[in-house]
Amino acid sequence: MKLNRNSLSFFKDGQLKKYYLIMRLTWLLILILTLPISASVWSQTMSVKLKNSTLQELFVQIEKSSNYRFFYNNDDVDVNQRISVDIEEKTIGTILNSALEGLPYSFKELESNLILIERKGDKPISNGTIIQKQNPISGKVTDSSGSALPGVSIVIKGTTTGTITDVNGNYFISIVPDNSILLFSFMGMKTQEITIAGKSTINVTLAEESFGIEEVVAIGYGTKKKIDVLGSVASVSSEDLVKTSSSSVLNALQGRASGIQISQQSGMAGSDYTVKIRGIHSINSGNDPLWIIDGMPGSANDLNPSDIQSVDVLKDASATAIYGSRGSNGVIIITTKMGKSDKGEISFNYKSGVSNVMKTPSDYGYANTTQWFSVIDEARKNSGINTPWEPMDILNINPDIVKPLSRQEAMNTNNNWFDQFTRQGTFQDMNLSSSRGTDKGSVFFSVNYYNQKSVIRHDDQRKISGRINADFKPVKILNLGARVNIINTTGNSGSYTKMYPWRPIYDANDLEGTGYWNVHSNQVAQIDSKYNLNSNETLRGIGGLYAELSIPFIQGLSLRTEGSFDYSIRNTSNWQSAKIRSLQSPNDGSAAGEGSKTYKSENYNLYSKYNRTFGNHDISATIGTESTRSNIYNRSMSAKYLLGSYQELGHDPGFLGSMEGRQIYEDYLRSYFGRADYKFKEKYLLGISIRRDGSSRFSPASRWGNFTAYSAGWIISEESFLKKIESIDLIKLRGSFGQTGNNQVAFNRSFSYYVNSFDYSYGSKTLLSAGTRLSVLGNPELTWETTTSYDLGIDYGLFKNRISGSVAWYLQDVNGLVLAQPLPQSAGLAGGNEIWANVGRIINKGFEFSVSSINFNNKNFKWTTDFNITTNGNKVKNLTNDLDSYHKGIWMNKWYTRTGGPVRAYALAEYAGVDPEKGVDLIWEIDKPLFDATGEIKRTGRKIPGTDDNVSNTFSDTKKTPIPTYFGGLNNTFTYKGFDLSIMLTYSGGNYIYDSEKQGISRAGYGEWPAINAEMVAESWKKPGDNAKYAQLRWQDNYEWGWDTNAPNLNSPTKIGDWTFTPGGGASYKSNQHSRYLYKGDYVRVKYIEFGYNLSQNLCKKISIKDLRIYVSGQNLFTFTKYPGWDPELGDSNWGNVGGEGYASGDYTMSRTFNLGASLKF
Amino acid sequence: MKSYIHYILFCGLFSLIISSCQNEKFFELQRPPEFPWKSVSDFEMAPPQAYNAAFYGLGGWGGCYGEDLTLDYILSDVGGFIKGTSEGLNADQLNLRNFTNPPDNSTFESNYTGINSINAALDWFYETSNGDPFPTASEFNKEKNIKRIVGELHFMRAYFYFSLVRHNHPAYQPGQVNDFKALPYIIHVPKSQSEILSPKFGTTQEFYDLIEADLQKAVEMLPQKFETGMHPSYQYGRANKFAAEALLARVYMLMGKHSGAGKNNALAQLDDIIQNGQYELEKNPIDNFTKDKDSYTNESKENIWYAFYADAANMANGFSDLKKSYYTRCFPWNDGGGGKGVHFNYCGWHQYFLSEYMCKRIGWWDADSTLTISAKRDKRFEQTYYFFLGRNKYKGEGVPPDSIYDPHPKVNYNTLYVDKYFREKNTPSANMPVIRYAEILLNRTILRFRAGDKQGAADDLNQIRKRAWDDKVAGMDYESSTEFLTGSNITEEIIHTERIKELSGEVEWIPYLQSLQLPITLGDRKETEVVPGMGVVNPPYKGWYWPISPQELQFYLSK
Repeated sequence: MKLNRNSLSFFKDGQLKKYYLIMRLTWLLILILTLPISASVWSQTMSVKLKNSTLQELFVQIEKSSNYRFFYNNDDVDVNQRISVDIEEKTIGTILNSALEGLPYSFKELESNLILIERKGDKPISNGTIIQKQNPISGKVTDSSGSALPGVSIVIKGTTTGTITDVNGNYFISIVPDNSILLFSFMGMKTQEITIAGKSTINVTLAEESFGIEEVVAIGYGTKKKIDVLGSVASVSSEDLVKTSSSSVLNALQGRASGIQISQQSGMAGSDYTVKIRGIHSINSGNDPLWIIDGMPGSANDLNPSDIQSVDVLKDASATAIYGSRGSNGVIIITTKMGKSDKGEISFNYKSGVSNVMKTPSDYGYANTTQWFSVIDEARKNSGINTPWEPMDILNINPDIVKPLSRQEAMNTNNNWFDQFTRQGTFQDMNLSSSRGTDKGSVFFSVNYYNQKSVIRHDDQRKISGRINADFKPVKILNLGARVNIINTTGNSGSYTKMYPWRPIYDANDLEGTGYWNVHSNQVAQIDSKYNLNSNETLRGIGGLYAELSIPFIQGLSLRTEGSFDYSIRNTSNWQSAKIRSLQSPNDGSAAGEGSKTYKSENYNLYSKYNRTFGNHDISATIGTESTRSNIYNRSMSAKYLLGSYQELGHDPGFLGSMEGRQIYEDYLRSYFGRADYKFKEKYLLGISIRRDGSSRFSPASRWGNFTAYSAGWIISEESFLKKIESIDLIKLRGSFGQTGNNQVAFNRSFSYYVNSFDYSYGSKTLLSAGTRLSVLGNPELTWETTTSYDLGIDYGLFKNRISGSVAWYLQDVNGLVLAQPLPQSAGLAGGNEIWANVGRIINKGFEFSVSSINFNNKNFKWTTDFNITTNGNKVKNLTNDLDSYHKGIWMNKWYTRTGGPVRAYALAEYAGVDPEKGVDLIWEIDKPLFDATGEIKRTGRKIPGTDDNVSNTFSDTKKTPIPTYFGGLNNTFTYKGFDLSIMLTYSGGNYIYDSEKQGISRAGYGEWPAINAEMVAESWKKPGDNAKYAQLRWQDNYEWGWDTNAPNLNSPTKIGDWTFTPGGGASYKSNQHSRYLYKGDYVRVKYIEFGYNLSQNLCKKISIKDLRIYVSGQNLFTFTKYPGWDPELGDSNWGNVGGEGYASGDYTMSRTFNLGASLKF
Repeated sequence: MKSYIHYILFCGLFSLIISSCQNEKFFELQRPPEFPWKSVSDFEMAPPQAYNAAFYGLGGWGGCYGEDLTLDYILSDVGGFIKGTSEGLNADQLNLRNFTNPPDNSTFESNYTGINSINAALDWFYETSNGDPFPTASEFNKEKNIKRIVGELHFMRAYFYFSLVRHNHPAYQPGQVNDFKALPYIIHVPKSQSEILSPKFGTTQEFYDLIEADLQKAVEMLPQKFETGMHPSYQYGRANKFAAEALLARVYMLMGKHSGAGKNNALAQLDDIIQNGQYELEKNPIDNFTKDKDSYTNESKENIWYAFYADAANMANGFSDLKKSYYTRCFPWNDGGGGKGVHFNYCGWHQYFLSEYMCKRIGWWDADSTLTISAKRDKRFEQTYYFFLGRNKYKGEGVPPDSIYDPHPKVNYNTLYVDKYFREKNTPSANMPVIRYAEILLNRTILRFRAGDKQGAADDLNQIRKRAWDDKVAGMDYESSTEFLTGSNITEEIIHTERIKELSGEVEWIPYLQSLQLPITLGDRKETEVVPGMGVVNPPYKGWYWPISPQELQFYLSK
């Protein structure tokens, strides 16, 4: 068969077709290569022609031509024995029989393509003495749960003689010297050494390796023993992931690994999380890490934590460079479970719980009705207004108020509005899984049901998911497998707002029959599911197939192909009854909108792996290609004048609103990658990885980029001078240097494009609806942001690994930040006069430390501790010429990002207390001319009033940012007999949070703010001389004392600017957005406490189960913080937008949860 | 041997798969940024954005059409200023004739936005498509639509640059070296950031040459009028050949090419319009501003080119004419808006009336600001102006019963406002004349006069004056009156003042003065109330232009 490029017609036509054809060709390749492979030395043939050669040369030739490897004891077998063989196309068995003829050796075929060469009869040992041949040693190897472990390596220590366990975990070794030691080893398990001591049967239970050096971690496109890993990789095991009540993997990961910071964005069901690995790496582009789920890039949001075997967090360039342009923000690899037990296992987990809000309005400091009126009345009185405040002064602003409210009625009302928006939340989580493994394959199956009603009323989420992971070994050299995960999520989105405490909620005499007072503007009615619905449903399928072929004629070489997909359809629906709709749009009936978003992502990997040991030299290499295609198609429509009473858009609505149906996103990535690692004498390590990425986000000229990383390691503990120290098990020094990219650059910035829009039209719309303008001038040179990373670390294990962990220092130099370069107006671009280019640079650096210790361990009691901490900081090295030359920086509302400072520092006017004599807020004046000339922000030393003008023209340069400078977790686990207790703490700090809510309620205004700070009743300024916490209460924030910026003032440092006094009021202090409301965001949270009991094995046997565990746990139990806002963890992390992270806008707190659960295994 | 075959096969296939993936087709987007013009119908969308930029501006305030007229009115001796008001425009700066900072950068931006997208279309037409973008289109389509579209693009680019060069360059000086450079001379779409930051800067001469060339192409390519088979949208508010000739005449006047042999002078362009354009004066002056009513087309026989505001769907874009309200005192976009009479809707923003100097110069006011017979018998006074009595005369005797008192608290003197735009109830959707026949006649009048054809000038001007003559008030017809002009009694001052009466607030006055090399006088200002040197400004009108804004300039300087 002759193949050439032209014959591959799929490269010319549709991309999707091509994609599948590539996969099919790969499968064909595997099939072709697989067919000729036989399964025995008596069926596989080859030719050998050796003359006066050694036995060893024969073995090497057979190993090269087949998948067999030879085992023998150097003391027993003289491989330098001369032989001659000349055989054409005979079985390997025949060849060996011929070669060994006349020699004192025989051969035996073992599992896993091993051929054991052994001496016939008694054999000499190295000192020339003769030992008596032993009876064969046999036994069974199981894991801690009693399940058989197939494939466990058993080697006589000091030799290469050994075998592996069969499918039932059984093993048999025919010759074992009496005084020898057997080594039992298995990936992911602790190696055990057992002395024979005359025994003929040895059964072994291997313990799983939790943090030892034998631990295997997932790296890109493969796995590696942790001791051999040169990059910064943190791993989290499956046990830790299922301990929280959340259905989210991200929640479960919080605080578990150094370098990774996870925070929830709200307390609502299914809310998103912000994940950052080693801080931030970009100003405008994404900072999200790359998630790889069983080889497929995608989101981990919907995954069932119980399905996950391990989570590995790749942090430095040597670990992530293999992911090239997607590696800058770190990579998180999720590996799901697979079957492993020959007997099979069924697990059933159930947990249920309740949750409550962690803070109430009174905790936060909202005023009740009495306090509310007290503040308002005092403000009016202080402003010389003697008429009593009437609630209709405010309510009348809203045209939807149709029923009036008198002052007395309002004062008699003190509603508990918070209870109307919140409730006691509940959840149920059921998980059923089953697995079984044989030497021919394994299956893991799970079903999960999760139902949550959050603490926000009407905010529900229900998730049903199912997974099948199947692995199959049709012949010895081929592994096939499939991963399929179907997830269905349905829910309603609740909402939350604040209300005047004096505003009635219900009205039994409501003429419209809803039972609500002023239903059209009633916030409680607005969330009533009878009148308002916000539902969503997502159907997601993730899965893929893989095939891994061990190349039979090159020992250690395998070829793996993976085809994966991630499809989801998310439907959203909102509906609003005419009964609650605003009277602003009268008589247009009920309204609804529906949306549907289809996301499709397909990924294809093809790579080969090579692992081989040559004496003291260990070599491993990977080379391959990856292709990813994804797109989103969006449909939406809305209408009014709905017909019918169902809560849906319905058929043929009276007035069609918006309608859209289009592909809104597409992204293609093709890559070629390679990695090579070398280890010498088990202690010197070198590594290199390289990736070449091409992306559709960029123009052909800038499409391709190369990313390379180098790493080196030295396992010092393997040196003789440290080997003598028994307390040291591992000390590994490692370092890496390399480049990765960040391709999370907004689309359509490389290409110029036009927009046909009605906004540019002229003339009659019915005749010509649009005009054409050049909207964006693309930058063909735009490419990904590039991160050059430096990483130094030490991994350690001490006192027989009772203390282990790692320390690392990292520095990330992010270059080519994608920033908007302003263009002159003459550019004439309709989409804005700017062009995006790779211009900025930031440095991001910090330390990581993690330690795991077994503090106490005896027969009945064990205490372990896991602790990690990460520090992080960044500095802007440069932005655009324009931004730097003017000292402008990027100003966004309350933040600025300027060269020399950190990313997004708060730029608020600096609060200086309340003037004791004048009763107004003060701020520190800055030298404005100096700022205008040089950009330097420097205090003049004078306090000036916090008037609107002064606040808007005054900045601080405290370099305080919303980005934590340290974070981590602490977990302690205690076990006593069948009982266990885990206490997990997470913490974060060094950041600042601007509490916009506190700022908004800390003024009287004209009574427009629904909530008012209760503290102001007693702690506002009353008279000259008061050292008050709050300024005098003034109506409409209008004060008599103001400021004239231009007034001459020889006594002042600047000789200009002085107080003004306007009787009755003349200065506005409405914009009180200064640093007073900027608080430290430090906190320590008791993330969860879990107390469990494991039924004894005897009892379990009696009731015919394998294991039973019951437990109670609590989540978010306590938070230690000085932050006075709702929750220091919460933050809208929409990083690119104003109102982003570190800006608390009165969001609801997260909930405190209590769970009861049971775990049962059969 | 078999093993080697496997090995070769494997390596071959693996290499093939790897190497085959290196093709760019993989990255081809299903939905790449769309090219906007794939058919003649698509190409029809190229010119509207330019009209949009000129008449609506970016966001509604910056269109050069309204901006140019407003600034011309205020800065010249035509506008009078209510002191103490400062809403909207930087009135103090403008009244001082302070040219330090541009009053509104958004016009600069909207002009270049219009130009850049025009350049994109012209680049595509001439360079990418080699002048034949739709080879399979019918000859009729090529002639009536494609050619016409390209003609419109040239016309509008000339319109924008004509606005810019008058705004940001000194006045063109005929026979002199016009080598001042300030504006970016952009006639192609820039291909890179560096090209934008380092543009060619054109001299005044280069810009006028470009404008002349563009308009000559427009004259050549544009049809005389809408014809069946053209895109139906072309009927409304778009430029035709005569609009191009009229604009070219304005340009030639400023360039000093007033008359002479051949076509390359203003008089030749005007002659062609008058002889072949089939335009004529409406019966009443106000008919030019009210005939559109609820119709898309301005049905005035006088209109050569008008700004389209009639479609209610364009209401949001129709704010460019808002600037005109500065000298009309009406708040035009309210339903109850409108000019004099029941639709009047006072707006306190408005702060410019017709200067007292000009009211007296045109003979409508006497020494104590009372109306003369000349005003009363002029239909334009009644139909296109609005006379307010000062508030101090509110209780005085002898006040005409239909008079309206200026509601502005600061105004205690009589004022006269331009009031031609907002007389209809639904004034936001009234189309606005940009070039009308009266201007053509007035331009030819002065050119004929200057060329020595005084009788010809009188004949042209008599058409204007006769239309404005109110027989009933005057008690006789125009021809019988002493106002009737002949070659012997016509003067240049009569021509100038007639132009003010007819076109104030509608066609710019300063370019007219510059074309004739006449001084720009102070109007109501005193010498001490303006920036030194900006009193009576004589040719070459030194300093009478705005610099490029510092923000804009910084880009070029930093480069």
